[in-house]
Amino acid sequence: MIRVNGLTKDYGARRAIDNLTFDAEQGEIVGFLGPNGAGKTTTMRILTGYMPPTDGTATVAGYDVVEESLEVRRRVGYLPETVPLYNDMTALEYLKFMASLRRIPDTEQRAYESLEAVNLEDRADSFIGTFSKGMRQRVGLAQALIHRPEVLILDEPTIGLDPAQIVEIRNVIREIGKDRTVLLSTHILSEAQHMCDRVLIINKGKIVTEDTPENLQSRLVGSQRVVLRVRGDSDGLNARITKVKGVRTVESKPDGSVEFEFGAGEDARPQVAKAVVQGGYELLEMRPVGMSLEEIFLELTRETSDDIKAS
Amino acid sequence: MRNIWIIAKREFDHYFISPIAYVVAFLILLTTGIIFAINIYYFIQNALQSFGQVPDISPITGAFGFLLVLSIPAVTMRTLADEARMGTLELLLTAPVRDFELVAGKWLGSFLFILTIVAVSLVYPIILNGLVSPGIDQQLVMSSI
Repeated sequence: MIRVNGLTKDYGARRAIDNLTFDAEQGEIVGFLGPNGAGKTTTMRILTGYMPPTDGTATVAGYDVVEESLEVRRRVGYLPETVPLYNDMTALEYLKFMASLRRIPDTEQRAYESLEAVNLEDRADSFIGTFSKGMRQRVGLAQALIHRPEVLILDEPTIGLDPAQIVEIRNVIREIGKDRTVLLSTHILSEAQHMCDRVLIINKGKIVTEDTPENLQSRLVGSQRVVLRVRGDSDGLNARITKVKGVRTVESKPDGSVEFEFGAGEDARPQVAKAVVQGGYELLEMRPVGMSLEEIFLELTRETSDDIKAS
Repeated sequence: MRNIWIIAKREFDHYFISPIAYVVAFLILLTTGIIFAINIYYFIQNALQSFGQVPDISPITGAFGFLLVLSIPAVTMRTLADEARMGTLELLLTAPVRDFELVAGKWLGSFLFILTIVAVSLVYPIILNGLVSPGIDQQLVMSSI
């Protein structure tokens, strides 16, 4: 659905994206993850036909983004970073305007449908200028959905939303992602973890790595950390756990819990549990602490800056 | 072509909710109205000595032309700049609309707005026509539109 090959964009002397190559298939939600200024928005702008690349090619739904820009635009729904809204229009008027620009038959019906998709149907006749940030974001999303695009490109779709709305929007996006292609950018990593089938980590205009969120996590985590909590006093617990085969480190936390670490290949949890119970402790909780995507992300982006320094 | 009309219509509608357009329309009509009133007053005062001179709309059209030179930039300067500021330019440039359709639509919308002000100012020749017998120079009115 989306094919990007050697895409490069220069802003004057500064290279915003550098030889970017990736694909996104139909029915796939791809997350674009990177710090600010990594080139996420630039890539999305090129894919939507807003500006041409300096070098390289990109096709969306089989059409070249430069040569067949209008065909691409017809098939893409785009929510830019700054939500493009006319404050002097009502939500319905705005969506009808966008629907008519996209030559949709029965504009009013479709405008209502996309308002329903983002749960704003009861505010259809309110002026956009009176909307909260979350509502504006949702109107923007409704606009991107109105022509039922094959490809949806969303630049930070959940920014400014409250937690309940984030869940809602995630569900909407996941629903769409079942049979269409969604490319979304975010710098909130848990978001990529929740929504995306695949994550592209981009830093300084280059793709650092690309994988499923789960694989990323397991690939980078050499060891597993587990937090353990017992009722009452945990004195002497450390010594017991240390003796268990496979356990590398044990650490008492100030809140009374104990955190231990073992190698990824050797699951020491059953033995630890046994040792704890045999020691007369009442085991309340044992929970893995995954290396969060945040840490992976920092790790990866730091690696690339080191690489650059080294070269 | 349909896109041009859709953009023009939105542009035209937008003028009627933005204060600057009303201010411009008000100033043009106020200035020409004052000139018109003074002009009529002058002619009535001098009716007896005016030796066959007939009032026409040329003082208004002259002022109108001058005012349009000032007001058209005031009205149109924001058409694309505002879109860029609001981020909506990105929306329009990624919608399936050709660049020339966008520009032509914007132009047409502004043109229709100015035409509306001109249409309102037609009230002056109509009043003048009622005051003067056997009527004013209609060709001058037509050509000044």
